[in-house]
Amino acid sequence: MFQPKVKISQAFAGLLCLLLPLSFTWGGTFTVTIKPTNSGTVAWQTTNPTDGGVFSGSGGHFSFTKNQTDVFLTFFPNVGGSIEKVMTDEGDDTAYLTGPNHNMDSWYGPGENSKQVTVTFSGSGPVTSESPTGNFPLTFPSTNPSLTPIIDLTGEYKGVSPFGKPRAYDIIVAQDESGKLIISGTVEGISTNKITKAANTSSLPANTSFLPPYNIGQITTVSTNPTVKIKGSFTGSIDGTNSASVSGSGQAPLVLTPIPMKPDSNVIFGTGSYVAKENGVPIHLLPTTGPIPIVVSKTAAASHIHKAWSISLSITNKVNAKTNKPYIGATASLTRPDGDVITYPVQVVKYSTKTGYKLTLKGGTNTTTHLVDKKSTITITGMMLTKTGAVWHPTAGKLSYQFLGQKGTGDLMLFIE
Amino acid sequence: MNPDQQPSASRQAAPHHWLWRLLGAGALLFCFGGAVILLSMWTESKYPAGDDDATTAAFTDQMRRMVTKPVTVAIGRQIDKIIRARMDHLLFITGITFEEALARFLDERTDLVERGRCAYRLARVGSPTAIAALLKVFRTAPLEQKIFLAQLISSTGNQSVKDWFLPLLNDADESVVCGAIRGLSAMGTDTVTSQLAGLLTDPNRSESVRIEAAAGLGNLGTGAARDALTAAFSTVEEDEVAIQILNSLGRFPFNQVAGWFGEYLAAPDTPADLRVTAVEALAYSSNDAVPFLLGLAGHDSDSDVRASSAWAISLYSLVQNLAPTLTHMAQGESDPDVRRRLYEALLPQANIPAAQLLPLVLAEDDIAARVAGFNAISRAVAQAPTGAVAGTFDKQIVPELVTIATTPNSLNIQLRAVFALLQAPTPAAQDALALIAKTEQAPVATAARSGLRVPTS
Repeated sequence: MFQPKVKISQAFAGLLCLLLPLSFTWGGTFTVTIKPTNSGTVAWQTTNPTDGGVFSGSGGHFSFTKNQTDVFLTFFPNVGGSIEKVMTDEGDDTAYLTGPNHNMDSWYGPGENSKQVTVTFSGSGPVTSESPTGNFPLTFPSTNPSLTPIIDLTGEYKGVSPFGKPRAYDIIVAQDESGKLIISGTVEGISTNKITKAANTSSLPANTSFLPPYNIGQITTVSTNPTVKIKGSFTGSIDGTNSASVSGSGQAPLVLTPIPMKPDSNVIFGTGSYVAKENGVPIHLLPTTGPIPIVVSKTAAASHIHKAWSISLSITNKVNAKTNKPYIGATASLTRPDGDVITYPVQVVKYSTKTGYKLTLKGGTNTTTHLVDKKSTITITGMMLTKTGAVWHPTAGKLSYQFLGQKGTGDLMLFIE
Repeated sequence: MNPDQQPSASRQAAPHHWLWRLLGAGALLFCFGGAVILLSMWTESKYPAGDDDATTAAFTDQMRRMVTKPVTVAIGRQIDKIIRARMDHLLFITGITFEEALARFLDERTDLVERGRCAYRLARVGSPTAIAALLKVFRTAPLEQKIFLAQLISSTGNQSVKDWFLPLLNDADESVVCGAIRGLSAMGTDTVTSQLAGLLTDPNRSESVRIEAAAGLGNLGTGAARDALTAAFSTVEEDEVAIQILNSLGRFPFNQVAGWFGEYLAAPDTPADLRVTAVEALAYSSNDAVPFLLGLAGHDSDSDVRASSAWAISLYSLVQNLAPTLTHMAQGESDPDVRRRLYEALLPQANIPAAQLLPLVLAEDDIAARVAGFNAISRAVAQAPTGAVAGTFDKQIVPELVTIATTPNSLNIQLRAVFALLQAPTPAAQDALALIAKTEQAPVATAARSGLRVPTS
């Protein structure tokens, strides 16, 4: 019959060793049950043979090859965590721990072909090895062309129309959390008969009236490009005389293509179609369908196309107030290109040494409107971290983002400044 | 008088008689034609064929479709030619001769925009010399110029350049392929349709090329293109390609895709997010999609679909007889997001029932819905400035809009609060705009300043 004995591991701090002395040829499966069940994960490691992994849920098992002598099984509990009790199918072996409530506990195990071991943990980190925690700022790198930008177009647009008779325009655009666009403003010489007019028009250009706000379309992501889709119609008068109507639709991917020998400008290629009538007669100011080149100065693009956004991710050790169970909690706030900040409630996350952290941030609250924002979602998968000194640093992962009616995906490391 | 001379005189007078008759008939025909043209122009101007509100039309719908509309379209086509020629001159010729345009186009030092204008002119001219010059440059142009030129030249509709673009569909560079697709889809032939359909279903092509092919088929807008899209939809596995197919199908006249969308949205296994995409795609269809969208906005079990349907309706700004229906729907709607979109759909409507809307809007807790409702009320006040609601608007709503616009908040909400003030032609709204215009937040103050130019009644 196997005789257990105590052996103190000197190799690692926070080490629990199961030493299996085998002076004879043997092999088999060692089944480990961890308690409390489903309280987290615990990394384990064996030497002679070298093996390792993570137990989660109710535990797991590992197999030994034959012809081994001693096998050490090591758990890596959290700081503050400890082993409270060890039960095997032969009875209570807690007494063989070097220090029952101490991280330096070790246990010298039996060498049967199969064995059941139940290890009960207690303390601040129930069963797990130290999970990475910390604050992780993630910033969208606006100058990286490989990532799909999320764009906010809210603002004032002033200029002179590039097609037909030059007309000064002054348009205000507002974009909501779904990427839906509404516009309002004035275009020189254009007057709508949809709004009350009066004599006090001195500050407006001649024959010009205020165009009331209308939903005009949306901005969405098409094939990794933010794309504006618009549809609109106008009925009124042009230059105070002719009744006119224009209705049309179009879309333009907001891809700024450089123009050779014109370094101050880019070009956007849109496509669209429209029907225009003057006094009831269809007229075409441009080809009615097909690509439309739109030259945009870099200054205008910089002031109107807002695409800077960031996430402040925080992962910390927490304790459930009701059950007193410790857990790892993640929370985040998203600062969108429109300046709104969305905060996400704390959620329980688990770290796997193989797959890292996985978390989905959704249902956050807009701190300015105090409304739940169902349209802003962030997903982080495979977020791996390593520790340098006392600080954890991300080393890998994938970030998917969806807000303002648009979406994108990229390597998490591109968002680390 | 010599009696023998009478027949002779009659014979001499006869040609004059026939000439006058001919001239008279010609004048009558001219007058009749002119009257038809003028009447057609007038009626199409006042009551366009296809307008939903046929009750006020001067002629029957059949008369308008068979007579007045074809007449105005035919005249419009001729006028269009003249205007196009003038616009081409203004925009693309810039007062230079054809030979000079040719020389500038061939000169590599010419800036790309100017070169593009010359290319456009050469393609419009379409002479062997012009086409040869375009082909020469096109073959040797750097990548970014090739894409630019391809799209610009294609917008002229010159079919002779189509044969150059087709080989580009097999270019190794995806951006060239996508540029060629955009160019070809402006030309619209059966060959192009079959080529794009082939790209869409080719599993060896990248997702972005397949998406561009789906978009190109939407641009073509032909029956064959629609069939290719619906056939491909059932086989594609990538969500992004499926989304673009939905968006492309949404651009077709509704009567051509109504059955397909109806079945797709009713199918129990259609994913919820794609139902929303499908509904929003219909925002870009034809006016007859509105009844279908109203049905979804009022009765679909998914609030996201209802909200998207209401938003889609808001883009049909020429359908303006929905105010009572939309108000009634808002009264029975439990989700604030859907009510918000219904309020937005009221903006282009005529005769907004402000009195019915007011208590509903004042009861809104959700600030986005509340501000959207204020915009609808404001539009109603603009439609009836002396109505009973105008007083409530000035006393109760205007101060709240000022607070929303000037308190740190979502910029989108702040601007929409200013929009609500911009529309209402009341002194209180003008005073409020003057107050907001003095604040420091640039976009909000700027929007208010632009509103100060709104005439006061």
